[in-house]
Amino acid sequence: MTSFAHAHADPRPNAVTGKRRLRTEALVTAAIGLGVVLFVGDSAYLQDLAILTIAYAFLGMGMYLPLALGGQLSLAYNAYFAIGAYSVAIMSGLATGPLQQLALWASIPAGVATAMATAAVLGFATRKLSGFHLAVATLMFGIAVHTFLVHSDSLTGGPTGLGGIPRLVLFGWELGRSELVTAGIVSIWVVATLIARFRVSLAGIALRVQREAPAAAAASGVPRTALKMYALVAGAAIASLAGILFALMNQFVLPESFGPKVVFLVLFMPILGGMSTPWGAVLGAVLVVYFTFGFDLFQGPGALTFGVLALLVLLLAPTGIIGLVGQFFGWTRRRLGLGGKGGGHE
Amino acid sequence: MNERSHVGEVLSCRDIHKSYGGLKVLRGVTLGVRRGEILGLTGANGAGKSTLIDVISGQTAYTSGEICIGGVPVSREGTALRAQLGLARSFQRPQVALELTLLDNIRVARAAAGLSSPYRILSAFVRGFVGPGDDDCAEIVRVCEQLSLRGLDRLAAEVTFGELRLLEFARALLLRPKVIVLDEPFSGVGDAGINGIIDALRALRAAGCAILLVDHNIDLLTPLVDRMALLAQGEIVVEGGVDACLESPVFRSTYIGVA
Repeated sequence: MTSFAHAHADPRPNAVTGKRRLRTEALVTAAIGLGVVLFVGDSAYLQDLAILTIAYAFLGMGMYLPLALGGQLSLAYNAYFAIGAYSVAIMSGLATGPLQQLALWASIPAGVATAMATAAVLGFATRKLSGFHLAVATLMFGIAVHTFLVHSDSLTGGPTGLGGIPRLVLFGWELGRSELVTAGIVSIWVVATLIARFRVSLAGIALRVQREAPAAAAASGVPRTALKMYALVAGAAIASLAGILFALMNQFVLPESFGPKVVFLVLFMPILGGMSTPWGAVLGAVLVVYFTFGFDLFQGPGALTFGVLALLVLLLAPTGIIGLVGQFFGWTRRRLGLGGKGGGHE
Repeated sequence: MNERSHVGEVLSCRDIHKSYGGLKVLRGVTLGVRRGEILGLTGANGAGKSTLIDVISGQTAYTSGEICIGGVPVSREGTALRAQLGLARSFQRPQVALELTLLDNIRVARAAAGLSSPYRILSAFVRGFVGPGDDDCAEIVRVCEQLSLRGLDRLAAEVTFGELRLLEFARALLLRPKVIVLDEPFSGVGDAGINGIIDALRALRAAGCAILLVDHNIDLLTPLVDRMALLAQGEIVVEGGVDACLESPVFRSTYIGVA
């Protein structure tokens, strides 16, 4: 597209800040979410897959915020996943009888808050690091947390984990697996929609500009360190929701679910789905679960296949699958002479 | 030169030294820009002009000296805080987020206004999730229109070098600065853009902004600036009115090669 085509056009602030796109995206994804809820239904197998997908989607979105918007490669996501899950398991084990429900409900905000506090401390300790060094330091932290889960028997139950997590009860209504899957899908929609709005907000723009043009952001008065810190803390809060829902649905936690391996699966999700919207991370989560469980062929070397797939996407479609679809729509519209701006810009 | 009055100076640099290892780039630079004044700073390549700007904006640490913005000593403050005190700048090589649209690149100036204290940073961050549409782009569009910068929904990666210069200038204007430091704002810009920048600078001066304009282009500088200074080998060698500068032997030997 040449600048000539724009010479006469008034900039349309609404179109530029993408408010209309946000609304369309929210409606379309809400419809897809409803479809998924109906599709999963009562099937125990599909519910298992849905639970894993939901957990991965939260982890992917948690990583999306600091990585895709802030440019920070923090890899401690298995730790935030574990903190969410073990908060539920440990706190629900502290009380019995009617108090147990209270403890269980309280463990949800407590898990989020603990993950946020951990991210704040870790972020402060690593505030001078970026790129490779930040990645290594946070990866080591994730490994340390995993080791702690395995070896600290008295608190975490050691390698056998913790079980007996009761079902949540809301005004006498027990939330079973179906209800939790529905709640999980609704929460994904809410969180992804909020992140998509944040992405184009003033704070989101400041975060994105400091990633690509740090000197310009600083010279415009953007406090880079503080913004990046908040992004890490918000990402940890989102990732802790993965652990909370995972523990509530499975009713037990095992340390092997929270190994550093999960970080690499999660890291690929936004890359695979597309970095231009948090929904890319959700799409990536769906694909991970589909490739590792849906195909018999891929069941063994699932992670390996997935890595190769992510590499191919990086090489052939750097904007991810969502970016590719956007480009296709833009191309189709131009071919059909419908005018409009080509898609795939973002 | 160190004994002169600094009253009324929005930006003042006193005895700035800067060395890279053994190489002395700035050797005791003292200059000040007052409210509603344009100071033209010129000098040959390698004279230390861009280093001086980086030192003023806090992007480069300096060896000794003192810098005040609006009377506040900022020697120990970071770049973002100096910007919050009212300093805006442009870069010799435009610093722009290429994956973002022109409009979003300029909106960062709007964002910065809401990020002036720890509490406001947190509040802006949280509000970002709730509503993106709280800012009005009409002013940005108007400012860019005056600079003849159009098509703000294009990605920064798709526009010309001159348009990136205008983008940087627009971003600096929208910070509503008390003092603005421009590093060769005209180079690569078309005639319409140059006229837009000159008009905007005159309007800024009338509004009381202090302007430090760094450029080689004497023809563009002389009708615009109130005072001129010549930087050579890290020192201010000539400073004063435009005519006095143009007639000084050092200036003539630097620019036309005759004393």
